[in-house]
Amino acid sequence: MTPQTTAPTRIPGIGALRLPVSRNDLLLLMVAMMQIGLGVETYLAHLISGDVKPAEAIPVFLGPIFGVILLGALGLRLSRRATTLSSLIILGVATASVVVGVVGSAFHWARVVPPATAPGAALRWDWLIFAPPVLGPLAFAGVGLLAIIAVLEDTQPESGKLTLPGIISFNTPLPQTRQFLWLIAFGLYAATLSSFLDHGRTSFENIFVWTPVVLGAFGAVATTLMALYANHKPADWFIFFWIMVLMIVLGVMGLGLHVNADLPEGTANIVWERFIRGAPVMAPMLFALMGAFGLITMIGAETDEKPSAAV
Amino acid sequence: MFGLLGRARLLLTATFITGLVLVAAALIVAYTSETTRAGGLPSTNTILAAEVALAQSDDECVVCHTNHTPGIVNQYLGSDHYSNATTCADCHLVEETVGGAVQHPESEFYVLPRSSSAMCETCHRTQVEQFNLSRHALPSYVAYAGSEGLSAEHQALYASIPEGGFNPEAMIARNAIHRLEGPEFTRFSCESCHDVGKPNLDGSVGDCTACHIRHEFSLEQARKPETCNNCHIGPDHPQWEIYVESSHGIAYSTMGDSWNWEAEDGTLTTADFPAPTCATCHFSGFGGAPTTHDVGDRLGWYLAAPITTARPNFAENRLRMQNVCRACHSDGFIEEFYVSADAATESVNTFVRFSQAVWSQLKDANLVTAAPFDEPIDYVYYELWHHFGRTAKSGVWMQGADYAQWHGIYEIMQDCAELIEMANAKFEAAGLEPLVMPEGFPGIDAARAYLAAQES
Repeated sequence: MTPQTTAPTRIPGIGALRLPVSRNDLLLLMVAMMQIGLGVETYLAHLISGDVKPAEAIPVFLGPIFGVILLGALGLRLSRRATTLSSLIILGVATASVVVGVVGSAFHWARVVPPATAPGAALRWDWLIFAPPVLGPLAFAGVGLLAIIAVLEDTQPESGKLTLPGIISFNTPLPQTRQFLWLIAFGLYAATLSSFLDHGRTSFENIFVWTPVVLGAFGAVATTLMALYANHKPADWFIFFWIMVLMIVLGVMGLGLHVNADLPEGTANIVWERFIRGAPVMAPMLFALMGAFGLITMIGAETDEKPSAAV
Repeated sequence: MFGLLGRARLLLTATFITGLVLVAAALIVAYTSETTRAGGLPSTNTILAAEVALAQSDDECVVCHTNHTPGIVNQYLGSDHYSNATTCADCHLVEETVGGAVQHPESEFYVLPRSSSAMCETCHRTQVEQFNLSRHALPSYVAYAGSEGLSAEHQALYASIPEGGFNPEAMIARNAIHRLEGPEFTRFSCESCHDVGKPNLDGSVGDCTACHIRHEFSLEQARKPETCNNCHIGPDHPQWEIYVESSHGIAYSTMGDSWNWEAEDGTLTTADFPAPTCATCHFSGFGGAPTTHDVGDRLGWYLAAPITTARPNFAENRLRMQNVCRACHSDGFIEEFYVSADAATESVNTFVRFSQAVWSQLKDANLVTAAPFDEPIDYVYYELWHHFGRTAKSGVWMQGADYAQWHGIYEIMQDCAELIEMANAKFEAAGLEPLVMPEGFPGIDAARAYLAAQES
């Protein structure tokens, strides 16, 4: 079982931190909180059509339910009680989250691919831009996969051998750190593509809305490279650290700019409807979340050189 | 050197690859856009999209109605309802027991031939709730039909409308003009507009399609002022004519082609609509005002009444309207305009009170019959407020100078003069003293003086 960390944990390329919980537990905590946030975000997103229909209510309710169950299971895990049970609960909820994400994405995709598609009439940009976001529901799948990997113990770091405590051990082709990095890279690609499509609704009239597209692509490519590298130097982690910080800054700045866009009259006259139908307030935070996941992934990651305090 | 490059391999490689990816993506987008322009499917060609949709559709209703009613099928296939997977059945298919349901020919299922607001409410709940509590709903219908036929539920709904002016005793009777003209004609006149708030056989109220014309349900159509022109036109409430005359209307007529008619609900700004249409001021989420389907939500006065009084939510309503105005106008401009327009509204009230005082004296002397519209003086008295009073007030508030002046206040004064001439003829014929008008009649000062004298 994951022990509570009391000794300083090495952050390669950066230094060391004394953390009360392990990397994987931190990731699971983030996933639990994100599930609750996804429920709220899904509710707001579906309000655009005026009402949340029964099928649309499924992720709205399941997100917070998943989050609460994960928090409970994480509590069990941290208290080192019912280890097998907590692992199975997390695994079950995470798998259900993946299913919700994939099914939701399929529903959205069905609305993007027009029944009108005929030979010669291909998928059109405007349909792709203005239809329900295909990638949106995949956030459930992404955090579900993250939880599935995080619940496994990396008993032999950098070997790819993972263990579901008390149940099974097995070999995977990639070390756990690189598995996380691949997921974060996909998350950043999704955030970047979403940013491109969403800002496409404004026809990119403001040139600054290209910022998240360019920086998001940069962050995604850098994370992909980190996932591809078989060995990481401290300098790689140092640069990766600052790129993840950049992703967090990008997300928080996006949050502020979207709030500003939804307040054309200033704070003296707040119209809540704009927060539902206008610039999506929480969407840029996907960059920040991926940045946070990236930073957490660095905790205790291996390097192929002797660690130094900082580069 | 190489050591430094090696340490920065992530930064350098990521920058290089990102640059390549972005350049490649830009080239692909540019190429596909060029291809589309050169002969691909035009994104705005909804007719072609509808044809393609038709060819692909496996919806039984769509397939069959393509032969029977191809017009509405084409409209539907070009609608957001279609692209959002809302089917014909979603709006029309009902249980046999639902009021107004008819069995579909050659089938066993039942439909509402004309979908009711209850069906719209399935998806557009907030919009229908707002509509139900507006004067577009039951008050509009009761204005001609009276309240006698309303169910207890409808009476209760009417009573819950804050600005409905619920008065069970006063609104029982069918409107006199409607009754006099007869159902053969009013089906094409009064009812065409006032049925926007008619109770449906399934118990719901109103007809959403009066403003959202089926079966395209286009945002652009609902937002364009020609839609309101369907009813808000003519001598008794010429809002369309006034709008066309106003600066707002001129901006629409001359520049409206470039406005963003399909902008997302609730997010409209002056970038989308540099000047307002009817919908912008009264319904749309615009500036600091949220979207509403209650037409009176931003109105302070009952302008349609003979004597204009404040609506129940006077201050909140006009604040919401001013929040729309603020998108373009300064606080000083808005304040000055409202103070001036309030004063002009009160002027019209004074003239109408004057006419009511004269009418009261005629009634007291039994010189007018109880029957409505049975002698010329009835029409003069009625048109003074119903046509010209309303026109003058709307002309003021909507900034149509010609309607405020020549079709409004000038006509009111002419009617006052005519009313006094007709009234005095009656007094003299009855051997009574004629009414003596103050100096300056039929001006506003004379009307005020006459009313002051009456009160004293």
